[in-house]
Amino acid sequence: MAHNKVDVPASTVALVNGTAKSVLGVKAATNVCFKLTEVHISFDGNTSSNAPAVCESMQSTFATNGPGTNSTSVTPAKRDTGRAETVQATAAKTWTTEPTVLTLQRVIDIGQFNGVVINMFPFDCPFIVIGAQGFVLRITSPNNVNFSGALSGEE
Amino acid sequence: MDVDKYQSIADGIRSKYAILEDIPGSGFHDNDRNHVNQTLFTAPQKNGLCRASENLVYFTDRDEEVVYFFGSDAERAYELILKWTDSFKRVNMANAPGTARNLYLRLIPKVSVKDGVLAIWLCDWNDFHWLLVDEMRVGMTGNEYP
Repeated sequence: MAHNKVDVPASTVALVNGTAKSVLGVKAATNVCFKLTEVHISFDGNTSSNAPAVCESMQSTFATNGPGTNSTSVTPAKRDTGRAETVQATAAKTWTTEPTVLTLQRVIDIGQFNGVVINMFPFDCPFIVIGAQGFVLRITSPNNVNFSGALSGEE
Repeated sequence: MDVDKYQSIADGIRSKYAILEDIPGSGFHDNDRNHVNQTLFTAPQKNGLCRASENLVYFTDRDEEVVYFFGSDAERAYELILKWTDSFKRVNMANAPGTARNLYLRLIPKVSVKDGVLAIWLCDWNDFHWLLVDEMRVGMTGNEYP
């Protein structure tokens, strides 16, 4: 059955100044596309003069370093806990070695001092992750701050 | 399947983490703290999980769509799965969450350790991941197979 809505959360992912880091990602199962509907981004910086972080929404083939490899695997959490279907997409956070191949789709600067963005894709324009490929949120922060956020979607 | 080969790769990964746990600032040392919020520890053992040097190591075969545990990892993972099953013996499964119902009634009866290998279909993997990490609080490290 379709419309299995899930969230992929990550809390307090440390960003090191100037280093691009893939903080959250999801890989669709083979032949099962994943419909990404929301991206949540927030930071815990406490210096108002810090430059914003560059947040990139990327497509990924996951040719190398798929979720779980050189990253911390995350169980996608079902919104409807009564449903027994297993979520097919795999997810992870905090890559220590960047996944490949990444293609930039969207980018936005977000302030590290109380910066919060909830990017909700329009109902008729979701971000479709095709089977066996993925979506990665990559952040480059000029300062040491933590990222907390989530990806939401359905399959 | 070369169980010994993959068991040694898994042991190597754990040895690497054991070294990192002795290095302050690596993120795995007992005293390492978050560099922004100093009240938070970063090491897994300070966040409700086991030490990274005790992580289960699994291997994902993306072509065959199977997740493997080898040797002692297979035994330990299966033991944890059975331990989780025991905790549900007195639960009315009709009222259990969907994931628990699926695991208890459909998925767990299908898996076992054969010749030192525990194989789980990738399409069932997220439920087992939930069981091991979120329920049993075991850290896991992934790797590619072959």
